Amino acid sequence: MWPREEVGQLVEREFLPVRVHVRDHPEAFQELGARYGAEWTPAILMLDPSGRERHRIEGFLPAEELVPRLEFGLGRIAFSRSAWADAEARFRHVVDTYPDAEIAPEALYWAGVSRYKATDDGADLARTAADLDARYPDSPSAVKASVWT
Amino acid sequence: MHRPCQRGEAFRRERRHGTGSTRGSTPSPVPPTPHGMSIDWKHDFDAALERAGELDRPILLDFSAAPM
Repeated sequence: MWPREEVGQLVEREFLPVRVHVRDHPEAFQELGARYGAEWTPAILMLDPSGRERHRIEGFLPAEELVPRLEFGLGRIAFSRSAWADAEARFRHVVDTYPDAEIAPEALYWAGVSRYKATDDGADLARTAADLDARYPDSPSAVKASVWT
Repeated sequence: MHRPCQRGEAFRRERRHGTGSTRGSTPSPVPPTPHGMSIDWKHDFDAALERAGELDRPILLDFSAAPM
């Protein structure tokens, strides 16, 4: 399922990995599937240390999309903890390292939100909207950010 | 319109598009990826959740139907 070593390295470095398999762990699969509303496989849920879901991936993704999605999820976890600088750094890492990934525009959006949360300066949102308009003008995130200009 | 899929159906679809069968296999506690990278998967979620709290570490919860 995850043929690229970088995926395994990222998972081992950043997460406590738990796998429930429909066939090998049927009771856990059913119980946890109901608890988290997982109705399709593969489904990867990123949970904060209290077990609350912060991001999910449903369906197969190739490694070049999966890795930035996992990094994005780490950003959402940091954001949920009000760790604004860490969140912004993680989101910007996604944009800078994987600029062509599908999640990159959303990462740029949330990088701007994280910065704004830290500074309470609306100019940060305006800059983010301008960045999105320049780099990802056709993205839903650019539309969402257009209200900031 | 897309019809919600039951878990068993999802499994059958993944099997159909997968590369092999799990019939008769014994799951390894540390299944290797095809290129040899191993992930130390936990399977007891509640124990993992308790550990995650102790370590202040996020959990990656993977619901899978792929051949192991």
